[in-house]
Amino acid sequence: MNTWLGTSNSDIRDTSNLAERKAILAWRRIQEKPTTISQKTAKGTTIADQVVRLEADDNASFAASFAGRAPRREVTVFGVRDHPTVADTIIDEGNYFNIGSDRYTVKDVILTQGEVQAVCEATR
Amino acid sequence: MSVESEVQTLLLADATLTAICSTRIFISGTVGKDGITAETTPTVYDASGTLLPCILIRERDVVSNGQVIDYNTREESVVQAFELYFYDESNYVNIDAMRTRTRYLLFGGILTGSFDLEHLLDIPRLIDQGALAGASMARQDWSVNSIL
Repeated sequence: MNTWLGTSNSDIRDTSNLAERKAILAWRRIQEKPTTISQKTAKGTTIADQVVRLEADDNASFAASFAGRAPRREVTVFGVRDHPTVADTIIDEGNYFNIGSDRYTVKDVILTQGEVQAVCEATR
Repeated sequence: MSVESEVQTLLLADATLTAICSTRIFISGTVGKDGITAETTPTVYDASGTLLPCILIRERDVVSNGQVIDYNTREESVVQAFELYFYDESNYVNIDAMRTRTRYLLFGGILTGSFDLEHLLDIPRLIDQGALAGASMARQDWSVNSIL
């Protein structure tokens, strides 16, 4: 269980390595609501599947162009970094992935302590 | 038959073009107000959700150009543009090939009751910023001159 939680080599009360502690907590949050995504870079290179957490905005609009129009909604992807046992989440601006028929394009990536947050736009 | 459906029929008959985009050649008059989407045109996506090469044909307004006006027979000369939009998931390899082929097929072509088709412009390196979420795109415009 400790290995699964990623807490085997880190005491949650230890403040000496804050990023690692935050990463452990971030990974727990991801495990509560995990989603596996398969990204491609803007040039089409495939990135191996990763487990993240998705949280959607509660507002939606339409994305319109010559091709037509499709629903548009913002989604935040939560990943980890500096976790003692889990690999850093690889997610970069311009990457994209599909869930069902929706296309998620990564607009912005923010690195925080122990966590990576990516704002994505879901369309199609 | 509308201009765009005539052009669609002409393009679908070409094996070289359909080798690239198969039968994914759509016209604005039948594709629906939402255009190319996973719901209205599911064949444009593969099983992983990747956009496949496709073309959308959109005809524009019919405009009188005043070159021929016959009040006795109630005839006038008109010009109508139509636009071809080419799409692919990423890069422009297939798009460039489709664009080259449609130019070859349509240049000097004649639709029902029209004079020779005129090539107006090519815009080769576009990105769809809306419904197709960053897909590669190009545009090719044509002019149809005819007597109504």
